Amino acid sequence: MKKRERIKIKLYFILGALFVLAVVTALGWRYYLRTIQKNGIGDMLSGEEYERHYVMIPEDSSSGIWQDIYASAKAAGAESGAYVELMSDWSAGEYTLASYIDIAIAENVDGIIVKPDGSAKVQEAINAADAAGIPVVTVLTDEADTSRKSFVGINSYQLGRTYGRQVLQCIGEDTRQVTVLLNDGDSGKDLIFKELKTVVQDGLSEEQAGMVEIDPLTITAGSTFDAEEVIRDLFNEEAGRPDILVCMNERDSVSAYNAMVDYNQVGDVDIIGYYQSDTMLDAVQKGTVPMVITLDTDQMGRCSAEALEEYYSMGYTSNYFSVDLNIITQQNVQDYLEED
Amino acid sequence: MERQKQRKSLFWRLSLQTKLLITFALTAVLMFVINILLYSEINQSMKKLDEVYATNVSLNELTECLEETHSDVLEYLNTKSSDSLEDYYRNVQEYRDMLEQVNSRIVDNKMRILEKNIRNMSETYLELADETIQAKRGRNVERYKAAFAEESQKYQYVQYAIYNLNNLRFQANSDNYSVLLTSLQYMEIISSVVVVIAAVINLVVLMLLIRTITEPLRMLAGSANEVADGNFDISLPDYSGEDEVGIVTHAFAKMIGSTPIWDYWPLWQVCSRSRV
Repeated sequence: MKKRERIKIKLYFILGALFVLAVVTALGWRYYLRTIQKNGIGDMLSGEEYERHYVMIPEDSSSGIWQDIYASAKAAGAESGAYVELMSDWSAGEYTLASYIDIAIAENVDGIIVKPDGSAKVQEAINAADAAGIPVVTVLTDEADTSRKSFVGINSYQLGRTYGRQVLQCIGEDTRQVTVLLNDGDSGKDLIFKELKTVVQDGLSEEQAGMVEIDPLTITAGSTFDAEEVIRDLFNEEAGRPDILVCMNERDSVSAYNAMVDYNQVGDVDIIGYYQSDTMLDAVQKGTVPMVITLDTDQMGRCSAEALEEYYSMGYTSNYFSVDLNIITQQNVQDYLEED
Repeated sequence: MERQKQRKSLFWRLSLQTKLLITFALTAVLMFVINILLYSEINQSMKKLDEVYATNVSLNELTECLEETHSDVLEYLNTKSSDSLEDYYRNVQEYRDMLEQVNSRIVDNKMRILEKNIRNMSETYLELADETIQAKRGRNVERYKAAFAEESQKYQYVQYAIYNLNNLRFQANSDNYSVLLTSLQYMEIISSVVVVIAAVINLVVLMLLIRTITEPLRMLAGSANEVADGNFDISLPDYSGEDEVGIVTHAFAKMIGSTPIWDYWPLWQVCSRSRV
């Protein structure tokens, strides 16, 4: 009996040691697998497959507005089997927008989403894409005289009038100068300014309309940093400093806000900004910026992908998709901050 | 119970050599299996890295072939030599063959989609190159100059795309190698621990097995000394195995039990005196 018990103890000891060995091996293997999977080794070449390939050519791939538009376009495209690629890797090169469209044509993509810059070369490139059988959808600004299939955005007339109404709200008794920052590449800039000015002048009394100057300041598309320098100069010189500054894009809005803070002009200059970037939302919340006008970027991305899909399946699509304009003030800024 | 007894008797019936071999073999197999499992996963990861590097190497070859094709076109436009035309057609064929290996599917993966773009742009480039050559052969000066300008533009696009893809692959490979290196270092430690534990188990099992051999032999030696001292009232070790130790034990027991002891008395005396 004693001998048998001794044998049993020895057996249990051996089995126990084997169990420990198995546990150590399993734990070590699990750790290794987890490390591999966590860092994605082996996932480098895999991905979901799609039937169609669309390309979005952004004005600035790193800006928040284009990231939002791309995200919703990609999601909308994925729902119907289309992959939307963001042409971000070309931003380091020396290519123009027309070249990017040319590259997309050479890549033989199934559709192009682009914001035109108003140049003749871009118009030619859009027409060349259409000739190659590649439909083009324009966003934010339009080139109605080209073969583009659809425009997604808000028309210049409506945008100008919305800005005008917001400027009216900001005008006080001491307001003398309203400056509207326009970009050379925006094809509808003249109409936007014209409607803005009309709405403001119609909304003021005759006496006040005579005292308030409303001027455009067009930033030409020269070197990359021209816009920031122009805005800095505006705040630097007291003579040209406006009481209300209207910005039409995200970059100008953030530049203007930073210049206002740097030159200690908070409260002296009212900025009407564009797009709900983190900087502008924060500024509206603090009350340093009265309002920000923004387009529904989710709607914009979605409609641009759906326009291409509609063209692909039906052979035609709507000429114009309107997107909503939102006004962000201190009253509703919290909703946008919570979304982020 | 009967089956257990039968199983037990089967093991005890094996020779010492076989028992030792079985024990060694089992522990060796155990360590072998553990190492195989651990290192098979490493091999899988290395293979995945190889896949990426394989296309990396082929991208360099693709670039070289594209450069040669483009310079052949340039040379033909400059000299209209038959050698450059022959080189052009050969390089174009080689380039097309390489393009067959490049991804053409629309996949939600940055590198894969870039491959697809490279493939399509290369096709566009080759069409233009062909157009340029044909226009030159037909002496349509304006046409081949215009086509060559467009072709050069496409050539730059393709080169830039391949450059981007190489950078992406290099970055991915660098990241993965760092992770793999760290994981391999941990795997080294884990493997060492596992091997040490397995070796300890091996040692313990062997010690236990050897004890089952040496213990009865030691007891048998003790019994033999008792008999040599004239004490025939001894108890032999209870060894039920049928290996070499069992044979010796049974033989000794038989010797003690079967022959009258006084027949061997002179022999024992001689042995005892020689010991002294």
